[in-house]
Amino acid sequence: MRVTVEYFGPAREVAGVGSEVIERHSSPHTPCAERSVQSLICQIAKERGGRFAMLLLTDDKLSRSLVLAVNDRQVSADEETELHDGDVVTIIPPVSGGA
Amino acid sequence: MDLTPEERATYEWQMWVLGLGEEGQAMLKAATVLVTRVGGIGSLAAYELAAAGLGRLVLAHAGNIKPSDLNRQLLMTHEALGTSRVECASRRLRELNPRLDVITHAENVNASNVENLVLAADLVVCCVPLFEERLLLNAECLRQGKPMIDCAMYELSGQITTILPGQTACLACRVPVPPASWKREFPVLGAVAGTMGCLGALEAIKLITGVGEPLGNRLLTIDMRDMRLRTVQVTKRVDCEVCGAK
Ligand SMILES: [Zn+2]
Repeated sequence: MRVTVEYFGPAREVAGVGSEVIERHSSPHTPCAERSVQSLICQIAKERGGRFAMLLLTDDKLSRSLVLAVNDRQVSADEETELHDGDVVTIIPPVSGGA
Repeated sequence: MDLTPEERATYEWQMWVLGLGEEGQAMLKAATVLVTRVGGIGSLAAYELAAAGLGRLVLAHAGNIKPSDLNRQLLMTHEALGTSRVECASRRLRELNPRLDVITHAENVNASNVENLVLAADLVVCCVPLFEERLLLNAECLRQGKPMIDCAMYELSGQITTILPGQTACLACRVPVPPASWKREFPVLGAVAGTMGCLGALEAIKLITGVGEPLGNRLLTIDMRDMRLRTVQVTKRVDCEVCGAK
């Protein structure tokens, strides 16, 4: 399965790229929870560690204030949303720059 | 509210915008917008609203002008270094549009002034650097049923959405508590902050005049490093402590 992950704002900074294509092997027998967008992003964050993990995770789970979207629709950070081949996942951490 | 001959002459080209016309122009003249603060985003938001012929602006921003403000706070001037930010902003706005009524508050939004600041306006353009201030404004706007345009930036990126009480997700749906990752000092390029301010003013003009489709339930995010844009459909949280069913 190939999905595109797009990073915005501080997420782009810690990812070092604006977007990337990620390949994951899964079969119809893979449990749903392991094929979800939330588990994919969690997995990437844990693999990369450092500032990437610090920005995206809170207590080892996806931070609730991240806007996570699949094909331009927000999905909850704390529920499981099944991923499909070709999906575009967008990660938008909250920012408050003004003044 | 009728337009004067001077206003008709000033806004002639603007009134050609489809759906705006003299009626929309009169709506702008009758409207009051709170812009807080008037920094990199708020300066441009206020300036574009002044240019568009808004009737009244309420500005809230504490402190005096510092050298490090001048890369982005376009309503401030080198000459006015060390003097009040809102006073300088008010002067600059009225140089552009002497018909504009400007009410200044030399303080930032806090729990004790937020009610009166929001009461004085028809809608709010939120351009503050702290989530605590944003969340205060969000809750008060919901309480008073007033729209809030939430404009933010970081480095070469920006985010904007329009919160319509009772209709759309609110800021607390997305950011329930101030995130620990947000730091008070952040990288900022004036052109990026200014872009977000102009978009904020545009959303305000659309809400006031009824022209176009505002960003309700949509978060526009822009990466200006390579000009990528996404408009994400955001969802109201049923368990939101601010706008959800309690
Ligand atoms: Zn809410």
